[in-house]
Amino acid sequence: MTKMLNLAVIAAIGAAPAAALAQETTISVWDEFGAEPQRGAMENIVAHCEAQIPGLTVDRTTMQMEQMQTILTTAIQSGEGPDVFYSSPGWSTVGPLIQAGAVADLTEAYDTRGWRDRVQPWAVDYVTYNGSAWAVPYEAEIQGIFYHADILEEHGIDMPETYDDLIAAAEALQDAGYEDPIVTAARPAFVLGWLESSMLGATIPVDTLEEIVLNHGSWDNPAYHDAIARIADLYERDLVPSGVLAYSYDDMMAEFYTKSSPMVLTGSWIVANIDGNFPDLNVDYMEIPPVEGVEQRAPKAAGGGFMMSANSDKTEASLQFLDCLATPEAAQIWLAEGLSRAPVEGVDAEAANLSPLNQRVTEVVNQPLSAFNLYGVLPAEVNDATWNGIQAMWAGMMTPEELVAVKQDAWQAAIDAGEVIGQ
Amino acid sequence: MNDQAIQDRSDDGIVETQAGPRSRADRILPYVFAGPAFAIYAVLVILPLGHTFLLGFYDWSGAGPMTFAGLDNYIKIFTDPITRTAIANNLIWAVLATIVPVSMALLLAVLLATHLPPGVRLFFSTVYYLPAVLALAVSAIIWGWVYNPAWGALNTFLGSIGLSGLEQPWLGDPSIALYSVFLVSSWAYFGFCLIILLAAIQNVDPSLYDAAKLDGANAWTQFWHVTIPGIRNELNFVVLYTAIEAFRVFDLIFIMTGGGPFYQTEVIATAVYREAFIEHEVGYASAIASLMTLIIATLATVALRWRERTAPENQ
Amino acid sequence: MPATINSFLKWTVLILFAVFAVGPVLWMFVSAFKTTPEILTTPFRLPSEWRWGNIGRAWGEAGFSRYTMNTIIMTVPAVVIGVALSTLGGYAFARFNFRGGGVAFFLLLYGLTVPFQALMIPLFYNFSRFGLINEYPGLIAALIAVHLPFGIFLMRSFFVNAQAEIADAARIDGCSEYGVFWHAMLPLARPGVLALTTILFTDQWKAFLLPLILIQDDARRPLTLGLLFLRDAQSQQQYELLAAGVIIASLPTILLFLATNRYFQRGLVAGSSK
Repeated sequence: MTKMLNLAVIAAIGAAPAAALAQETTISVWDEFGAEPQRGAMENIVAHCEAQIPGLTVDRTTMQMEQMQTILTTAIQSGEGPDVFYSSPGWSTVGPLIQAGAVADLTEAYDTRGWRDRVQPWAVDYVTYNGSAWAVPYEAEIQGIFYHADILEEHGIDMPETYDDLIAAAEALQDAGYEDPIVTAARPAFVLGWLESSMLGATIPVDTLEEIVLNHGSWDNPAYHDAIARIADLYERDLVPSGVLAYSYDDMMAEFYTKSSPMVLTGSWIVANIDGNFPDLNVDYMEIPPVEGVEQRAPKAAGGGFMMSANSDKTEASLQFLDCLATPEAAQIWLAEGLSRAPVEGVDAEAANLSPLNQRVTEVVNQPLSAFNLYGVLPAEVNDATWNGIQAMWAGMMTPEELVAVKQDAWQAAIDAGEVIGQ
Repeated sequence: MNDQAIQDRSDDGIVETQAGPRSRADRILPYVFAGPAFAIYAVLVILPLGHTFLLGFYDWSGAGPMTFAGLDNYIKIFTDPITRTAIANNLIWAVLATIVPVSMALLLAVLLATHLPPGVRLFFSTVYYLPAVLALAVSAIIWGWVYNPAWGALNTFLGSIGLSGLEQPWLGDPSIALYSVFLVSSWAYFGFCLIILLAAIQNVDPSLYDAAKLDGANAWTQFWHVTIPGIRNELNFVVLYTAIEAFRVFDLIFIMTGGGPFYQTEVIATAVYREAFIEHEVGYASAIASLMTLIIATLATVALRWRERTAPENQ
Repeated sequence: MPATINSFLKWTVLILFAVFAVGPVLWMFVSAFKTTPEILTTPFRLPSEWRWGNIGRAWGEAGFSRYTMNTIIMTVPAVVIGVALSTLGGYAFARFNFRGGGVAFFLLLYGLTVPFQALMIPLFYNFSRFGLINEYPGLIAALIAVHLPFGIFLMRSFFVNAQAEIADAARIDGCSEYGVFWHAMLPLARPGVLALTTILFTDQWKAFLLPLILIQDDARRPLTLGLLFLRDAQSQQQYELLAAGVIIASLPTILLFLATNRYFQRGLVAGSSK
């Protein structure tokens, strides 16, 4: 009975357009969109929302995401923090914030304001931990290999369909003079997380991964040993740069953009940059192709989302702003001008006039099947231990077996401390 | 140039006894003059320092409740392999820092102190000091380019002179990355040491050299028996200075390697930063910072005592 | 001909170290006028065409006008107030024996050895509690405080060296202690004030860790942080702008140093005789 009533209320409120605020309100918003094209697109979205919600003024502060992590908890608890902030909703990042009580629970807003109808379900799942939703996701991203299609074509290499094809293609490119057929980087360490997530997507069946991540199984199992062995193998075969441990993200992208390297392991956030600054490149995307018995899928994630501070005293204005963000109109601006994908229903990709690469990525993002983005689902300690461990393994300071043990230890400690998601 | 801070200040020759009857206004003058400086210093240096020592005994994530942890944080320092690596690296760095830039500066100071037109001398000392004028953040970016594995100046240079076998991922190989960054530190500091030592050498009484020459001393003997004793105070100062700076090293490592690969270039300061602001282990970070402060203070005290004890009588 | 060989060796060593000192800087400066592909593919060649406009692009589109303004806002008050406080404090410690002075001096002495890392944790958490994160007054006060030990020692050594006799002569003429300071001692210590000003200016201009912790808002970052974040800005592959930013960030201190070279060096030497 109550449920029925709730549904009626939801239907009534969800359909209602944003109302004017009772009084003039300025909310403070922290985000990371300091560079074009996203800077201008976000300014336009804010202007759009301010027009939609009479009385609302948005005061934006842009800062680097890592910087924000450092000060967010303290700032929120001291009352100096923002009302709304944009952050990675991955558990590695927001787990500590949620556990410190700094983030407002948006479950009720999802239920009563019709957000569940507007935000894509996979993305809602992604920002839901232990039953509560914490963010309005605003960056649907995938990770995997971006490659110069013209280089592969020039050397008569078909798009690899299996993992072995990929290795064969990389070796053929190496023989053709590309010293580093696949480029990745070690700084910051989470770059190696893209490699690990993609490799797991290609080598571990999805139910095995779910068993580990959601049911707190052990990483010390043959499938994960195999994935790590393949990561070690990439380095041993010299398919990644021999100096990879000295490579920063910039070095990696420089090598890719100058076509010194035909393939790079990264994520869909580079598409806006390619479209904007390197329109002559013929870049395409693929997941790391799977080994036998594993279904092809990309690690998909909500790379960022807007959240509300638990200490905000401007709740209604903040929620209305979030509500406006979760409309197709705002998401359309985000795609057409920011070249970025908000996982909001009703966005017209065709009207946004996207490049072929951007279309392809948008297509993959909208596929239902997804691998785990480890940054999103594991606690920071577990990921740090693994990604630094990969560096140690490549440097010959750790064996693959030791790396698995290190990860499992960190995992067990996090489970014992209650810092994990799932059951 | 011979007053020592640690010495009794009456040696300075300025004491209040020389003053006649003083007005009340004159008596409060030192407090009016030194008061504001000391107040700011107390609030923003002494108090936080005490606070850091206090935090070292607590388990705190930077938010939420603090729990008293006794010596747990200090015990953890010696059992945590990453922190141990950071301390070991910092000790290596400190030892090298007292040797490498100082020797470079000493060599150049001796060469510049020989018969040279003053303009030439000034030109070289200016050029050598130039790196020190740059922010370490800038130096780190410049040398990050020099060391870049793909297109950096160093590897390109080695390749162009046929030594491509020596090309290295300078910041990526755990066994050399620390030394690669250390070279940048020496680059940034040797000019400073040089200016101090050059001035000191030029102040050595020339008659001492003449006397040594009469005794038949060669250049080498003169260096050891006249120059070195003549500049001992300044030498002592630059060694102490570089050692203290060594324990403060942060900018270069933070920007060039971020402590990596695999924590192999962590030093104490980067470990404190990482624990405090990234891992949110504020109590533990405070304990490491406190230990570092004690190390430096002890080092400075020992060095100053030693300098006091060994200072010639006529100081 | 050993003298010739010695002379040859001497000049070789001097010149090699000069190349070592300025080579990397010049290389970066020249790179600022290239394109990114040139930097990446022909690092040692001169630019095919000198793109002087890169400096303007860094100044404009990469935000270095703002970073420079922020650095000035941070540096100037920190230097002016820092020099004033150091001069007054240095004078007090040089000229008077006063109750509490010994202890205060001892605490300042150890201030020279305190690593900033030992202060940053409470500073950060207390500043955020009082809303001082991202605020220049808080940052400037902290910058002043950590440089006070050096400033006070430097000024004290200058005042100690300024002859006491002149001060006595001035007092005989009927000056108060304040008059002695203002009319007799301060003019004598002018080289010290100039040296401290130039040294503090370069030091504060170079500040990195304090603003890294206390300034988080992109719009308020000083040059040092602006450079770091331009380097780490994931979407950009504009190496020439980074190099141009390096020029913008370092030219002011280089020029100041060259212009005040003698004072600067004298200040360093005086500061070392602590």
